[in-house]
Amino acid sequence: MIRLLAAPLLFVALLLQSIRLALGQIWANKMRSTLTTVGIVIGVASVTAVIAALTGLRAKVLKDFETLGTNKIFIVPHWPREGKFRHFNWRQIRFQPKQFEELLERCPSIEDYTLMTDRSQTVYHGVHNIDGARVNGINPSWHRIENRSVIAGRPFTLMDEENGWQVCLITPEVRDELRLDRDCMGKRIVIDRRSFEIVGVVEGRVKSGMFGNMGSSKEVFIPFQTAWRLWDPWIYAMASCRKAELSAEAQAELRFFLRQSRRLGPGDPDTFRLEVIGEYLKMFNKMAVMITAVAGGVVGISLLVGGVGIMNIMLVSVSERTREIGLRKAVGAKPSAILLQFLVESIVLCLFGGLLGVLMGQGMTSMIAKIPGAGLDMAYIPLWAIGLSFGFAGSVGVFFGMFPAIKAARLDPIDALRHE
Amino acid sequence: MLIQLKDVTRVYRVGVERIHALDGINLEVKSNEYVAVMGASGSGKSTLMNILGCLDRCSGGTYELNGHNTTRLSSGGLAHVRNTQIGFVFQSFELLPRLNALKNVELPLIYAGGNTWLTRRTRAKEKLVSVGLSGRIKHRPNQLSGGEKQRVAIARALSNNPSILLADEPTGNLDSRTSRDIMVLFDELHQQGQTIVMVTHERDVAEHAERILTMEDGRIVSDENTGPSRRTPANGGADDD
Repeated sequence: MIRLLAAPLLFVALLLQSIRLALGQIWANKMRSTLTTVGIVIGVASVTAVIAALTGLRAKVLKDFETLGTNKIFIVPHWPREGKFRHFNWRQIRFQPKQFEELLERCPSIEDYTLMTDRSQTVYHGVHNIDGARVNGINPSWHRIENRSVIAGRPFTLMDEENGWQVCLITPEVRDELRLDRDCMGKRIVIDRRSFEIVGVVEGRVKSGMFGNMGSSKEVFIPFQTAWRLWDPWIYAMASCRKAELSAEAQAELRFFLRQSRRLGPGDPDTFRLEVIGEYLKMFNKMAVMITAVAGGVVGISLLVGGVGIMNIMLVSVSERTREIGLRKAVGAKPSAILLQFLVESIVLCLFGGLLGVLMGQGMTSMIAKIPGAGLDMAYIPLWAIGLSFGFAGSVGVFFGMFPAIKAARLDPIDALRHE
Repeated sequence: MLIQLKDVTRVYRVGVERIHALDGINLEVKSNEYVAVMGASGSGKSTLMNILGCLDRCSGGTYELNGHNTTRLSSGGLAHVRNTQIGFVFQSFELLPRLNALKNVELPLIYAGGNTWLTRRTRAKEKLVSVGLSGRIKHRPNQLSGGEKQRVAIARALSNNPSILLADEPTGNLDSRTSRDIMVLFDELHQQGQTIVMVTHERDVAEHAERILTMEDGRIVSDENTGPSRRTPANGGADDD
């Protein structure tokens, strides 16, 4: 039993001793050790800072997408560039509401959809008016797709929709700009010379960093049917799939359904386009991977240079301590013990560089996070990046420390003891 | 027989020349013998020490230590033999400057393995006390006098209770008074049963041994037995083998 345990115990004892020696060696040559690790420090600092910035950006983008809804699919008319549809006029390209009949029955992955119109209008109330307010026509199902609650009054109902009543929902911004009371239900506003009764107030669009200026919050909603009857507008649709993971299936179903309902032949190109927010997320991820790869390459070069520096200083250390190596061998250090000692020293040196690098990277990250308007305030160094940094630094230590350590281990004890 | 050399040769190549540093050495050393090796520089006494100390391998012949043939051992195997069987004392002490006396003495115990921190420490302390350095345990080499340094080195050499204590000019860097003290220590160790092989070129140092070998051109030319009795006057009778 004792014999069995002896070998690992010896290894642990040697390892501990080597670590202590290495720390002592680094402490004795503080200046030299610090300068030697500059390459490693810069490499690790830059990789952690880049990863931190990307992590922050990603968190921000994800949050934005979440408020927009990652399971939404927009269905918009699209003019094909080629084929016979190139010469179609807009009447043939645009959607008709009846083309969406039976959509829910035919597309099982779709939970809900709403037809939508979108136009810019001036809205009046008494002497006050708003130029360029967004007037959206929506189905009542819009309330189930958008995560925007009705903060006063009531949401749209099927009655509003089917009768095409001239009722509207407004956002708090519209209410305030038209100098309406908090309790403005039953008041009337004028859009395009027609009077609409306010039935509710719906909360404004979430201000979401990157996409915040995709549309203003001066929005007025009217039933889709009303908009369709009054203006005969361009329409599009917004659908939500049951789960974000079902997005691909939902798109396939929609495409099949729409090609049929729009009577497209087998060779015809699509006259509509499906836009998915998840796709943008994928694109962003691809971009992030690319940035990481480029940064990784830069860091790799930096670590390589740092590693050569480590190798150089380790060679110096071996030749400075030739007599010590000779003495250690004379009192019974095996070549493997000497190898371990110098390898550990190189690894400890690199890990020390890694530590300085992570600290510096943390400093850089805090600075990045404070840059106003960069949207990187969520930047932080994830734990895996710290692990990765130390892993890389350690590997550099092993790789570049191996040659000097082998050189030390192979020294002839007699020559080493005679060395001046 | 503790040491048995049979027809040992050691040949160096320098360019195209072959130098016979050892040229057919036959030597037997019994346990608890105290042997001095003398000879002019270049006579091969250092090479003989290196072979005896398993720092070097012989080119021909066999070297048996404690009945085990060491000729075919790997460098790791030789390291193990050096660690467990041999204690070295060098002319220039060879203490590690950044370690204190205790840590220097612990060094062979670390490479031996199987010792806990506590056993290493107590053993090293014991050895330092036995060489008369109980008050210098925490001192670094640069805080010690030459004689004290050599005592630390002797304590280190003895820490693994080796079969042989090999000393290479142990008083070469010391003044005559300190040399005498060190030689008294060697005498004491010998009386306690320690086998000692010592290289020296000083006759009066060699006189402390009970057997004096003289080397010339890689051969042993004389093997005087000066007897177990101490302090016989110089140029004692020569008993050639």
